Amino acid sequence: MGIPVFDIEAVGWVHPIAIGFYNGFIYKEFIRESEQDDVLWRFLSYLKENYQGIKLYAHCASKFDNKLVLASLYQHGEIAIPEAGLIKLRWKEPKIYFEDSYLLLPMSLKKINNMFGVEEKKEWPHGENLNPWEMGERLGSFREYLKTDCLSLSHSLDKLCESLGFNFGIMPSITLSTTSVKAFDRCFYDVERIEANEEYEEFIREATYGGRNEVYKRYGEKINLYDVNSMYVSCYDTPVPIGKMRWIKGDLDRGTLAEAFVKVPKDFFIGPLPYRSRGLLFFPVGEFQGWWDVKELRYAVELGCDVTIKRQLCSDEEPILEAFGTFVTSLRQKGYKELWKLFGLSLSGKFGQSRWRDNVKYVGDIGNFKGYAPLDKDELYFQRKEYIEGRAPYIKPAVSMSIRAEARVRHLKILLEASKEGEIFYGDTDSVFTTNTLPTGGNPGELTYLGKAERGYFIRQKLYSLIQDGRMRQKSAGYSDLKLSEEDFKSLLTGKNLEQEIEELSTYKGIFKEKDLNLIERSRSLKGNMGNSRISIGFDTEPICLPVP
Amino acid sequence: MIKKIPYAGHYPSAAGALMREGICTKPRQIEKSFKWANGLDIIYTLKGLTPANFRRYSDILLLLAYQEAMRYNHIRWKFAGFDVRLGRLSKSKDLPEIATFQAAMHDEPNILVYGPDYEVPQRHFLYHKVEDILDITKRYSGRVSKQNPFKVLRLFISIREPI
Repeated sequence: MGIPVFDIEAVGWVHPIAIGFYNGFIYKEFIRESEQDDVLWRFLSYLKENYQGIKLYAHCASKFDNKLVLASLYQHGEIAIPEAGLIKLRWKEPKIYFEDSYLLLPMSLKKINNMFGVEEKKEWPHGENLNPWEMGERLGSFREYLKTDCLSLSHSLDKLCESLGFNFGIMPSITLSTTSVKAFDRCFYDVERIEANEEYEEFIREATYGGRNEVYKRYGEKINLYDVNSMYVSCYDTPVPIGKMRWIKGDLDRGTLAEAFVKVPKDFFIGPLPYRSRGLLFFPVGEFQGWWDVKELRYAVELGCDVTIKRQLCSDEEPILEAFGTFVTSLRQKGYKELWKLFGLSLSGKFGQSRWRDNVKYVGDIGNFKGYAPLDKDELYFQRKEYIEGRAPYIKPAVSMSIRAEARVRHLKILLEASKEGEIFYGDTDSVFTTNTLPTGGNPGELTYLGKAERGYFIRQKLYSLIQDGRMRQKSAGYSDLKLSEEDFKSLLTGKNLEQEIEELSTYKGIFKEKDLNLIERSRSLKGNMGNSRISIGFDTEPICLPVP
Repeated sequence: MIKKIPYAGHYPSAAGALMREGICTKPRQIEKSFKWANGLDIIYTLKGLTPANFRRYSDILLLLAYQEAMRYNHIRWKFAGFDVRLGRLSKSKDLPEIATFQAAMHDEPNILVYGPDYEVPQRHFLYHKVEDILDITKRYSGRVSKQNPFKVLRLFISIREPI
């Protein structure tokens, strides 16, 4: 038995040629037979006729399959409403829900299959863009590839349900983070007991920053690579704010978050406090003002910074995430390592979720049009940005703020330790690349040694390459499909840009606007400059000094 | 159908001021029909609205949207917006050539254009859209021309009477 799934194969991204559908018991396929054959509509009509009320998954559906389904339904005059982006697509009349399994299992299907030990993913050369009637003898392999994708996803989802049911007595929700908070709520701590502190949210959000990601030196040799085991989960032992916030007199020995004026000595190589300006996050030195978690301010003072508190909020704090963290860590040791890693991590992220939602509605479902704006020329679909006030039981931004601050403090301690007796090159949230040798261990919060890189090119945040055992390992967030050579990295290091042409599918708003799914060409530039987190001086870097003259 | 209210040569004062400056031409009123409502779109074609000029005339444009919505205040729903030609660079073909900055529907012209008197978290009033347009250079930095980042082409005010 398995979970109902589907998978669409297309040529040129936008022309469906085959759909595999597994209802949990029986597999059925729809293969395009001629240029005129609207195979996707054939599949959708079959669903409508035989599977009203079904919920079915596709992997990465919000980026691909659901776009094709939405375009097809729209063109055939059917009512389909995207929810949460396209994570869920609701076909109104037959009550069929198309959901994205990537949000439950955020990794490649190949990785998922290996993790759960189900059918191994097969290979198919998508780039050839062949129609089924052009495949000849290879049609059999293509069909086998499609079938394996469907069956393996279904069986993996089934294993996920089994595991969540066994360990937490719950079934998956729409995303892994929602599932995680549901498990926490059911088995560890009633989230309703955590104060949302919505009236102070403006300050809490100001004091919430992401992880530290900086290039300290742009090129190096013989670099030791370290990663903190489960950085965020290891911080779950820290007390987090759960009580009602109240204003108190400035006092660094207590309190939860504060607005402060800080002076960071200009000779610091690493700025201890995060700072946001025009959407950019960096760690400056000099003089500046902002909101921070008090534990981060406390550590800044320990390091020699001067902190003047302007106003301060205080709340009762308890380490309510600790038991959850310990349990998830024990699950990791038993198996499905990747799953439990993400499951543990996503809890604190979920608490920090934004209160804004894009709400799309069909015209017939809107009673009061106030605040809605039409999405399409025919004015059949409308959109409203909604601010979820009160009724969001899982939004507790102070918890997320606190965990993130604790993780940044621990990361900074590691970076400072590493820089004591060696050079540091790069650090990202929970990693440090250094010439120093650091103590390691297998427990959460301890460092894992990932090996030695012969050479490392650190271009900018999340763009670097490491040469290990003669092979190049590339990190290029947002450009994962782009294969670069060591020469390319050398060229980037000199400040040259690399241009690339890519194709992207239009968004769901684009589908409503154009009444079709289109492939949009765009160029993107891989920039060789350092970006805006630090200032580069040759291969060296230094922190930004505020105020900028 | 919504009955067009003819101008009979008397345009809203803001339109008159803009016409004298050569910023807009006479408006067109176009009847429309939708599944949910009868509609009327009032379109002002704008001229020479480069970023500097748009900043200069934005208050009058907002006033014009308000005055037009007031002319049809007996009709329930109104929304308004601007069509803007983006000065896309060759590498930014994913950006639309013409982008629409559209305020959300409201039944009160004053709120549709200027927002309520009290603070709300939403940014869907027409004055927010003016701010968004003026912010194009920052928002699409490196993707639109520095010389000609955008040109505002049209102001539209849409009136809708549910069927």
